[in-house]
Amino acid sequence: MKYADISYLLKSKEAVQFMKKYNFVHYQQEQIHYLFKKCLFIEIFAMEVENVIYIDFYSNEATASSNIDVLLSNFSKAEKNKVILNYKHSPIEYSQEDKSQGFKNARLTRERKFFIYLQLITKFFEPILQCKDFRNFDFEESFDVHKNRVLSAKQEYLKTKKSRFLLGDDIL
Amino acid sequence: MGAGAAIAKGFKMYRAARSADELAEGAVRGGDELAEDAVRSVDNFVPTSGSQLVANPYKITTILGRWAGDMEHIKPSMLPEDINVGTALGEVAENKGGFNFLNVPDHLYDPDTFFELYNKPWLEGAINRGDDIILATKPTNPLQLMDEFGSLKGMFAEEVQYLVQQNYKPVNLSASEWNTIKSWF
Repeated sequence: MKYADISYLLKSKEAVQFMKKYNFVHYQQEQIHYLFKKCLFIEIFAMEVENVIYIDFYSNEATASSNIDVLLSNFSKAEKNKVILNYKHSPIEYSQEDKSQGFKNARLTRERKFFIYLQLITKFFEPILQCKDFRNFDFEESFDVHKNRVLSAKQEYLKTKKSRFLLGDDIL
Repeated sequence: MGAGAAIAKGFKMYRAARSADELAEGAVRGGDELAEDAVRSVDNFVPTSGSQLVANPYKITTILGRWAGDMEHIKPSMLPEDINVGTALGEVAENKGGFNFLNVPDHLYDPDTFFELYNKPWLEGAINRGDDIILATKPTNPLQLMDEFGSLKGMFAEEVQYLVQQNYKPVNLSASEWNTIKSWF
């Protein structure tokens, strides 16, 4: 399995505006993208062969983390559908040739999902993105022991990476 | 005890890693003697499911999970005979006491046909042989398998759905956990 190239999505006008608005620092490790800010980081990746975009939220509390779909389940389906159904976006230019129509279809579906997720995040996750009331947010997986263990290891790893590369001491 | 030290205890660790259900079913033959080095295990990585990856010495042990975070770290521990067991892409038709790990060459991938052409027949073979299946990734919420758009989240979600359709319980899930997952589909 190969990770999909989603760099072009992170470089899009919408993603850049999103990162700027919420003061995220973008860090890419191979094909996995991280958006860092004081209270959390977001991990974003996709697999070439799948039409899925994986967006996972991790807090610096090591007890609050979840994938985006679990987080969104806290909000009204009708409200979310308003965002999804009203979404208008033309496919953005992709510099590389797709390997086949199947890969192109998967890529375009991922792309559409990515931009809808950005809109949903902006609409519903304002308290998280502003780092307000973060501890009080209802994360369904807050007490998942294994996830916390993995998350802790991941955070340590990322902190090391952060200090070694480009991020400042006050990011996490 | 650290994971490495535990695994070093070989067969004892294997028996401890199995569920009470498995023991009751007699899948693990407590009276048999096995040399410690006869039991295969992945010693250097504990998957997010928390389950030790220890092969059943009497069967083939098929590993399923999400690529990112689990399968990508398990793959380096696989031997050539563990790859694609029982398929045209594999080296062996049987791998008793070993693992079974799906790894399709990149040039054969196509998102439109991958699951039906490779994943499903491979998993069907595992079920037909009666393999032990271990989930390296243990879903605890249906939204880990389905996204906001109602789509299954990738190959792992399709695999879990197929297991549910066949009612084939992974050995590292309790009956209760399995019933919960079945209720999601």
